[in-house]
Amino acid sequence: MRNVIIIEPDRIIAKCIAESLSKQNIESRIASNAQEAVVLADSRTPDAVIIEISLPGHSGSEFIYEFRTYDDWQDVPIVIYSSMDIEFIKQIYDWTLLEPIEYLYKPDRSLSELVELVDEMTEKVA
Amino acid sequence: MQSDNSNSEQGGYLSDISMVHMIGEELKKPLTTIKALAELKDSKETISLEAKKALRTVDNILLYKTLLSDQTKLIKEPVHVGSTLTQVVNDLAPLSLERGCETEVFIQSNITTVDVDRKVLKSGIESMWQAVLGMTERPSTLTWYVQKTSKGIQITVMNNSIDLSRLHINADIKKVGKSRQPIIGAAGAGTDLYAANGLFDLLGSNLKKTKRDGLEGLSVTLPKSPQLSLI
Repeated sequence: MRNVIIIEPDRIIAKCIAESLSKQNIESRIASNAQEAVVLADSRTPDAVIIEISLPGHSGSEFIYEFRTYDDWQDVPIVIYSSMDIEFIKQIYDWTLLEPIEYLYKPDRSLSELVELVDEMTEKVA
Repeated sequence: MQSDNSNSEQGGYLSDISMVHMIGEELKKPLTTIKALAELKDSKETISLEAKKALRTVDNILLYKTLLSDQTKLIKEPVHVGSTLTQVVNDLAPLSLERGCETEVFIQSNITTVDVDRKVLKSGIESMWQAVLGMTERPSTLTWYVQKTSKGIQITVMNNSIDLSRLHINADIKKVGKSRQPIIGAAGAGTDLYAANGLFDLLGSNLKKTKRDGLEGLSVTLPKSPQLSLI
């Protein structure tokens, strides 16, 4: 079964995403911050990562940058699913470190759109 | 009725645009949660609690901004901090529980009253709660203490999953005013933190980070009323 790491500080949103993914037979593990996510990825390489860029402690961009430095994880697809507008993210974080990464704006994009995207990204694994 | 709207500049006054920006960014979080819940079935109660949380954030920041602009005066009266905290706990505990946080309250006996505006105190505690709740990272316990200290009555909220190492309350709030960036150490809880800091500032106190027994949290000490200091 495909497995995805959800890095989301909002516990309720994380559960909503996990529930939606499970309907598509995608297993998920939830991390509320970047450090937890690294531990989860270390225990089992995920088929994809869904991340909210605005996190307590280390930011989502710091996580992505660090995540990409490991050879084993360089090809793992990452989706930023954030309530922060892309232009605002670009003002705050170094976007050149984040590209090419899929981005979905939470206020505009539904859970089913997110699941559809993750489903496509992890199709080869399935 | 007394007016005692103390100077809030030390708490970091935000321009209107910075304030709108901060509130806007942070209100998107509960609204996004509500939107996500609405896509799933059987989540009416959680939707209602999330909406309530967002509304409290708006109400408390509006109260602070209204008081700051001197449109409303503070009404000082002797208030029992313990009973005010209990009232807030009863009101917000379901929301905390929904987010996986149990609540414990320890109120020292023989706590004297403080002369404060009851509504501002209640809103300040609510904002303090919401700020901490917004920064907790996993199912945990929120522990409240009300204690006497040499300086007054101290309200403390501790949590066993929170990491406040990146949070510098006053400096971060000033930074938001300059850069319009969210409070990085308080992702999602900046508006509540700002409101709590401001509301307690109006009561003559300051919100501080605190550590105890390996736990982290926030505390505020309400000064003793002058009459009681003489007893």
